[in-house]
Amino acid sequence: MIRSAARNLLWRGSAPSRPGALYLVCWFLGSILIGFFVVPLIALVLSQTGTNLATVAAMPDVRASIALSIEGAFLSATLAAVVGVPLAYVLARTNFPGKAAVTALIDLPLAVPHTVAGIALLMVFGRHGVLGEPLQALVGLEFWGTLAGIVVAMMFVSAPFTVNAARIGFEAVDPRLEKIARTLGLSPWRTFLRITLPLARASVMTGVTLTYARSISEFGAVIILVYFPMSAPVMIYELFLRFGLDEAAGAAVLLLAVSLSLFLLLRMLAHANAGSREMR
Amino acid sequence: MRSAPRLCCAVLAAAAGVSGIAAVRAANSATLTIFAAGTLAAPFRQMSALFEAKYNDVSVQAQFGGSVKMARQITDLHQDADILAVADYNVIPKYLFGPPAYATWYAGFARNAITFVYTEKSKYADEINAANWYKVLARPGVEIGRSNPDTDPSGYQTVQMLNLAEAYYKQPGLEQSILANAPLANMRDTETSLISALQIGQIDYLAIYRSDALQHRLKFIDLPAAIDLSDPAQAATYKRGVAHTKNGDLFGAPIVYAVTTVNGAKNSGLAEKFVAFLLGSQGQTVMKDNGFGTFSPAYAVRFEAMPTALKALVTPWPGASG
Repeated sequence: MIRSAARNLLWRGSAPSRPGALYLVCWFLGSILIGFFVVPLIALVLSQTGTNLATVAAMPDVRASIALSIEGAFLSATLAAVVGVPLAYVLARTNFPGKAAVTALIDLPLAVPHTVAGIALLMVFGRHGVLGEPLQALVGLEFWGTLAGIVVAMMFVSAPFTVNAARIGFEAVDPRLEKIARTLGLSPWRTFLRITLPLARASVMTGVTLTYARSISEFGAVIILVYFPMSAPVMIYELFLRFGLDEAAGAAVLLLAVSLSLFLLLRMLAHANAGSREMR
Repeated sequence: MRSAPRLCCAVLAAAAGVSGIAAVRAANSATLTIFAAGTLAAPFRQMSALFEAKYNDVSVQAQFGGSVKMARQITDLHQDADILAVADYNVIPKYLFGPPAYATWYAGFARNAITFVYTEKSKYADEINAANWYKVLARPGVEIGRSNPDTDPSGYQTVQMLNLAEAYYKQPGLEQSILANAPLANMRDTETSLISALQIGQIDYLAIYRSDALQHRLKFIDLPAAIDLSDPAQAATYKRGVAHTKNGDLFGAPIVYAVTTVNGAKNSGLAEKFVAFLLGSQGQTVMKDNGFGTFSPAYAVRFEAMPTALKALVTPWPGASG
């Protein structure tokens, strides 16, 4: 009875009716990875006392920094989606000379050391930068020490996740479905919005979630452009310098708790109505 | 080609073997771990090379960062370090004397001066000099960078210097008018992170140590010794300068770099040898070549707690209460 209960729990979905060695091995190896993630995080959480967490949560600076990080990451993920999803669609559907180079270029920001990325962004968006100077003169937009600077640094290191995940999602949508929609009278725009995008939705949301997650944790590139106002990682670093490990870890646990709730929410949005997507 | 994968495997195996042998050889030699202030990077790297040449089978691994951060890596993160060298000698008793005691003595081995550095791209670079600097830096549109006084010695030393300058030049409001051009947006946790911002032109002037000006070949302002915290003999004057920080009110003191060995470190014998090298003539020459002031001999606090071999190289700190 226990075996059948475990069976029901662990291999629903498309797994065969009896667990084979393949699925057992997958679970075994997978649980090693889960442990690798969970054990340090639990150690971090358990290192905190209730009073310490309450003290850190009571600091208005800490709460402000978490709010700022959430706001910046949200803007970063949104902008990445606005420019990254169309790029992913083009990469999925068309072939052009240099496509391999463009695809490789999308991955490049992930390999750049964060400090170097920050300095490169400062060169372009700073006071005398090729984009920064005109933007400051024309629309008063500054990137040094502002939310815009935080968003730019976050986007540079995290947007590739949106593009890659969305591209894979679009590639998995059969182009014949789009052609059928066209023959039935839908314009290319409506085909994209009503057929392609909803079918690729889970992948796109995965990419956006990854971009959001990567944005919220970015430190090295952000701190080159913006120290004040402090994003959460910068605040955690300053707490470590001023008070020590306990306070820094406390703020980190708060950030993790907030992030975890947001990720669960995003995941639910990604898979909402997934059951009702079946063809009627 | 069928032989290509096999060739690749052979090459990888050989590389693994060679690196394995190298790893074993490295493991047999001793590794000295040094945590030091960011501004000591250049002289300490040179000294490490000289030290490794002098003592075979020794490799020196030095890590650089803000003085307080390096101290906390020892006390909070329990990272293994044999030697700690800081930009403000107060950091060692404050963080390492404990309890628990991570260190029991320290020696002041180099001096420095706080100044403002700039490039030819900086605003008013052509007119600024030692007589008018405080007026130029207060002009609107000038961007000044500095480090956070709450976390970094050069941050609070800059504020103390401006406080002293206000009295020295008899210009009330000097401190505030210059700090107005150094807003929070221009602040970082440690001043060395702002050097790239200065070189790019994001800021015009950076409050930093004279040694950094010489090392990075930047122009700097020659401030009077009565305000730039460079002369241990003027300690009483410096005490009149104050910086209000989140850690309380900090009073001016001469900028003296201090070094100590960490209690219970793995390579205490080797650490003592390095400190002896640092305090001796070769180390002092390296410091001088990098733009630092030197002591002959070095000043020590808790002289009686020092290892015997090092006592010969130091003298008790004049006027210090230990």
